[in-house]
Amino acid sequence: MASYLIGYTIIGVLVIFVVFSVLVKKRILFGNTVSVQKIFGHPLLHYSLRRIGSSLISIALAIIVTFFLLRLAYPAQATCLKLFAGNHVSEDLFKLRCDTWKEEMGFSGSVLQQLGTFFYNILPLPKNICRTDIVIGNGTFSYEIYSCRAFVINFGTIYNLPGFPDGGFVIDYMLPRMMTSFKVGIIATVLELGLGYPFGILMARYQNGIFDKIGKTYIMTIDAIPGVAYYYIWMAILCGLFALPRVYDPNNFLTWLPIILTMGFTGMSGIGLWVRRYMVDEFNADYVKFARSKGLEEGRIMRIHILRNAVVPLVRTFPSAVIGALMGTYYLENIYNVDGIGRAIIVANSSYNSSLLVAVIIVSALLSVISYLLGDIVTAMVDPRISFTS
Amino acid sequence: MANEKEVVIDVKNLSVGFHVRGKKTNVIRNISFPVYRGETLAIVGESGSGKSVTTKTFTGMLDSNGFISGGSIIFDGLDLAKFKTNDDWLQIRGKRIATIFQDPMTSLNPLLTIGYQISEVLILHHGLSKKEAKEEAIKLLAKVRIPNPEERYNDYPFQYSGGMRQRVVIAIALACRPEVLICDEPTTALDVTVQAQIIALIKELQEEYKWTTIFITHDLGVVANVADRIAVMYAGQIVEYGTVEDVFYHPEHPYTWALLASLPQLGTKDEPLSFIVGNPPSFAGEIIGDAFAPRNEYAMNIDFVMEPPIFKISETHWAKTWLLSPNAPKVKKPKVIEELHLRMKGAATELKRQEGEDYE
Amino acid sequence: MAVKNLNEKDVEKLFREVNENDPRLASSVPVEDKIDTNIKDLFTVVGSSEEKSERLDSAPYSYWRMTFSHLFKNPLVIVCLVILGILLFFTLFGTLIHYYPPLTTNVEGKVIPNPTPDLINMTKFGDPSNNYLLGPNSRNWFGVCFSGMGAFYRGQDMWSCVWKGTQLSMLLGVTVAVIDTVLGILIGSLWGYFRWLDPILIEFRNFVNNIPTLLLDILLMQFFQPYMERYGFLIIVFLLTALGWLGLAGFVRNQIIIIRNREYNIASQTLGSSSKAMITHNLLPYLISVIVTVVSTAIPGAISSEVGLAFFNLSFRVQDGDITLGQILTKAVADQTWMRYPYLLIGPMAVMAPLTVCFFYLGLALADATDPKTHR
Repeated sequence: MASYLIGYTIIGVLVIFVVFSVLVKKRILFGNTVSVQKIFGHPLLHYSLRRIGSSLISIALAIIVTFFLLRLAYPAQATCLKLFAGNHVSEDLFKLRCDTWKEEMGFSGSVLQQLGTFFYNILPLPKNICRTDIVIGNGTFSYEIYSCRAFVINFGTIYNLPGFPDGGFVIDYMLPRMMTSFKVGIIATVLELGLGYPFGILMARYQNGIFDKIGKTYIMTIDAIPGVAYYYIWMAILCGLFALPRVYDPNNFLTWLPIILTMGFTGMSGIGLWVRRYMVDEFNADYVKFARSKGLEEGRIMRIHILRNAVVPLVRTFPSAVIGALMGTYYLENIYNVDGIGRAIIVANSSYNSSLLVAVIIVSALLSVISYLLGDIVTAMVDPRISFTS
Repeated sequence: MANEKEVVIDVKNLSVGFHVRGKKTNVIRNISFPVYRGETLAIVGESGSGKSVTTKTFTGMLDSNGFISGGSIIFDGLDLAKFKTNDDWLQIRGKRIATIFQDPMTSLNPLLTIGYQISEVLILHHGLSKKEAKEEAIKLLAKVRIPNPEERYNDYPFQYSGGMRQRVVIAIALACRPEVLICDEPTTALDVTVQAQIIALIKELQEEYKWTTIFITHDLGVVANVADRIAVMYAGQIVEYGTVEDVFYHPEHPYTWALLASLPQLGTKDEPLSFIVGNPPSFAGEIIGDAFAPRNEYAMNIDFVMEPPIFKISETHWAKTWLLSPNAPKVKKPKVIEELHLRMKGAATELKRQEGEDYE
Repeated sequence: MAVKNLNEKDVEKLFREVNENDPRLASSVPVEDKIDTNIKDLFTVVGSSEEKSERLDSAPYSYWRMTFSHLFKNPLVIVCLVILGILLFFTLFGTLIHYYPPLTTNVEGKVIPNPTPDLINMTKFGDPSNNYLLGPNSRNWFGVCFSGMGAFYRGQDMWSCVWKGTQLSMLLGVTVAVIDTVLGILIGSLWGYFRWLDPILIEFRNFVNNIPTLLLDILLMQFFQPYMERYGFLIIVFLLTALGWLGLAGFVRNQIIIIRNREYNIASQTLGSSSKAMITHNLLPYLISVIVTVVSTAIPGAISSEVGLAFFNLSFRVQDGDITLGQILTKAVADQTWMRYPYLLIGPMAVMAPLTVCFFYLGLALADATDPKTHR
């Protein structure tokens, strides 16, 4: 009961906060108190609220589409058969397991009711969810509840996955794997940026020179050759030529290297391309010509006028680069056996655990909305031309 | 009297070419002219006539595919046409020859404050400290009549109107304290009312700081007010050069006639506004004879065959047209040109009146 | 040229030169007599002349000639075209030129080696167990498929497999590229032209951007699995084109909005043109460069995407006989045997890499050549 109280209190406080802020902004409350206006009427806060509000539509759309795809791709009875039917499963046991699973997956009622349940489970509302499984005795079986939790978001349960209890919560499976993906991904992101920026800057600086041509060829090759093929070429180089380990081990950093390096060398091409483009645009900008005619030396023009301005439009991509690391990489995690999200979805699909796929889709959608919002905010912080007031 | 004046920049036989898609084109074709110290030289011509390119060679600001293919530009004993490295140019750019560009909307870095962009120059050229630079920059802003300069010091360019930005650009040029100021169509992008203010400001500051102005424009009307001398450019050549009186009252080149005749200020209500038919020649092909001939109402057979030489009219005035040859028939100048004296007076009073209004 | 007056003599000398060089003025009259008449003739006012202005201009401009001259000036374009020609030739005739039957026959999952002389080599290369490995030799130019690649591939000649795979991959690539382009331009044009479509499609694009495409493919494939045997090709084309048009449509929309606001279209609208006429007559010609580019980069794009699907087992079922380059490539690397026997990867890559890179480069070169801005 206490968890319900806490849950509803949090939601209540949030709602009151939003309503209060809007009233302050509209000068209905505290219209003349500057300090209150400064905090609750801050344009940044209201811009964020507006953005979150409008992206709720696209998230709702994502949830509805996912729901119907899910029902199409994983019809109840067929999935049940794949999940629970086996050589030593009696008719009764199968029926019990299947019914439990259907209950957990929200299969009861009409399609609209099911959609409602789907939304209710996914929305951050307080609800008490228990992990249940069937205990098989000597010729008998009984229904048992292991643990209950006041979940805020319920993505459902997982069955038949090695190393994970039957009926376990998706969220428990997902979070540690997101962390694994993130640990590798964030280092790779730093490397991508660390390689991509000098790469793009050098290409722009010596435009049409030999470095630029090599760089452009490299970018084109990466764009053209299929990712999988390209990753295996890197595997041949890193693991064959430099004898790096071929299988990921969370405790041995050396085994992380092939993944990180491959991501770094791939990701740098895209970043380099944009850095080059923006830099070349700046090179031809009138104010750079004017700065030159003022008598500024090239090094200073490069640092203060070109580089700064070229980076501003790219700042927008930083949050999504960092947040994106949470969701892992699909190819590399599967090639190198990293136990992250990218691998989890493949495992989930081959073991018919659709709830995990749905969870990944929805978390991805949420994170990408947050990334865009943060991208806007960061851009506004570095670009004086943008303000949130209008 | 012109001979007594000191020549600050002496351009001799300057040619400029561009590499375009593997081909070489000549954009400036063998031009020579002096720029006298303390005066204002206006370079007038249609767009594409090579006005900007000419002055860009003075500060080494040609686009990367442009090159000087011959001639010299003597400035204070230095031949600017021979300059190669950026280090050479650092001694000249800003410090001694500064430039104001056409579009004030894009001349300033949008992400740096106005103050920073002025102080930057003061610190660089005069070795001021940050604090001194700020004080000086505020003074300069006041000088170009920016209201509340102290508050506006920290503003960004997007917070300024076009006219205000051009004032800031002028303030930056002031901060350089150059000997020569190149104004590359400084008013083209501005409203007509603001144009007059900016021109008046440049003129006023020139009197105070005693620099030499090279004023590039396609508008002869602007020129009458500011220039001491005029060079009329057509298709990469100077076709007529002289003092303002020479060019306005005794124009000899048919292109100058056409330009003057098309000035709206000089037209009268009952006659249609004249214009020049056709387009200037493209630089892709070779130009034979007088480049202006195909558009010239007074073209003679020889104009299509042979490039005219320079004919000297007086000590200060010359033109490049076969019409000045002793063999040429006497042609009657257009009516507007004959009546120019009278009409100019009318237009000048009109302009004065407008200016007075602008300063209210 | 210095400031000086020409004297009479100079002028006469000049005129003589002019006279001799100008066929217009040439006649049988002796030179001495000509000077006077010529000078008179030369200094006759003839006024402005449009036809004479023409010779000052450059040669007349032709869009397609400029495009092709620009394109074929680039030696790499020729190289790419030659490589693509060779690849296309082998795709069509590769298995006819050189075909070698499977070394082993596959009976109920059991592998019975063919009694060929190559068997000796095979055992030499291979593991003693069921894993047959045979590197490139005079019969098997790309070597022999590895038994670890799955039952279908056991003992198959890699050369024959690769060209068979390229056939389907190319067909898929072209189909997807055409559909993507047609849909992209069609929807993009409508999107740009009708304002009311804008919020709907923008919301749709947000939705697509927010969701990883692979997950949608996984769900869709789960649904389509039972129909793969009969409608395999259509299903894969659907997966690849379902969202593939969106990027192009967005691009076309932006271009149309830019162009739509140009004056001649405003004029055209006030004169009463219909929407359809406006799109086809005024806007689409502007997009030629875009279309050409998109088609040629969409082909390698679709081939690559299929490789991605194959990697996650979302592509054709090999047991139905539908092999693609993607399946060979991803099956060849399925375990790490290829690290010891690189020929497993080299064979498919030797076709895949030049194929995608050449198409892609050609696309970029076409984009450059068809852009009127580069025709200076």
